[in-house]
Amino acid sequence: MTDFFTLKNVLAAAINADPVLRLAHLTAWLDPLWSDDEDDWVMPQDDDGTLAIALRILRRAFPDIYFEALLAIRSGATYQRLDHLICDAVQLQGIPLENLEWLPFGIPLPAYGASLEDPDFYETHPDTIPVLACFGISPDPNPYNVDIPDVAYKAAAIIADNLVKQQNEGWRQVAWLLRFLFSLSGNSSVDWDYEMMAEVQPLSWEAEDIEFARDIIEEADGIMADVAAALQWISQHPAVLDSLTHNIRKVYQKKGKENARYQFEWPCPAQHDERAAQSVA
Amino acid sequence: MFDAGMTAETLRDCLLNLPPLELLGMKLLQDSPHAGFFPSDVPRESLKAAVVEVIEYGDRCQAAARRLSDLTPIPLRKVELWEFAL
Repeated sequence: MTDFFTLKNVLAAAINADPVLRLAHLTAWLDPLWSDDEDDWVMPQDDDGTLAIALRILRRAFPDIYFEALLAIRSGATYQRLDHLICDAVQLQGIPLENLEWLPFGIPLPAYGASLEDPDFYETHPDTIPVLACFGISPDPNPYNVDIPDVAYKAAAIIADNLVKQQNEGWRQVAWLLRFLFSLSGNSSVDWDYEMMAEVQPLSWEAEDIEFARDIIEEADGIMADVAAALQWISQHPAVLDSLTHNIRKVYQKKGKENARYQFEWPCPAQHDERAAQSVA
Repeated sequence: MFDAGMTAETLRDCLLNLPPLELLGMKLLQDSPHAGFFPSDVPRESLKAAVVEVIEYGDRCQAAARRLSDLTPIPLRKVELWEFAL
């Protein structure tokens, strides 16, 4: 056995002494898929070729993850272990990859989009119901299909554009809440639901597209953090909903005309709460 | 190229005088002569840099090979091939 290991080391040393053989050795060690040979597509535990395709994508997009996966394969890792290893590593790069099988389809983007016509949305997002009620939108009249009038979208756009200029951070976050609810943010991940996202050609794993996807995801995460903060702010200050309803009515009265002059009032909810407490006293 | 005074011989000399390319992976293998076929004690950062470099190097080699295979044939009028006459 000792002779065998000695022989292996002697052989490796002999290979490394020759520049051409050392280059071949180097390629076999660090980049065995360099030639994209047909035989390289056959891998253990990879009947449908998912892992083989994934390694080729990683080789271009994330060479360090590609090599980590090669090390794991050489140490006999199972398919499940490789799946976890690769997905976790890609997620650390800012791309939410949940399953290795998604990799060949392009960069997976999160789809937070609100589907206001779908009654299921109100079950999964019950905290948005009071806000949508300010626009006269409710799943109650028809539980199978919620009708959203065009003027609601116009009003949401006008109000959000105004709110985003407010000094109070809470109101600015409400602007992003409205843009999320009415798919007006301009960010694909925030505005599109899974159904819509599936209809669009995904971004490729080219370096430029990866950078673009990271920007989209980072921006979407920021917007969704504002959305969550706005919902919490509203739950702490219910008077916000009164102001919202009051101002939405103003837009509705003018049928959502963009060029109309609107005089919005966005009181600080803390002052509003104080006045309410004094009137009760 | 040949009209500008470059001959096959000067081109060969020019290529032979190029300094050898230093690949990090080659150095890592050289520095670990007794580590078996695939060294396992190399720092991760060095490995990452070596993988990126060797992938880029392989791409450049393949691109060069493709370009060479697409070159227009150049007649070598001064070379006498006696075997062809035979």
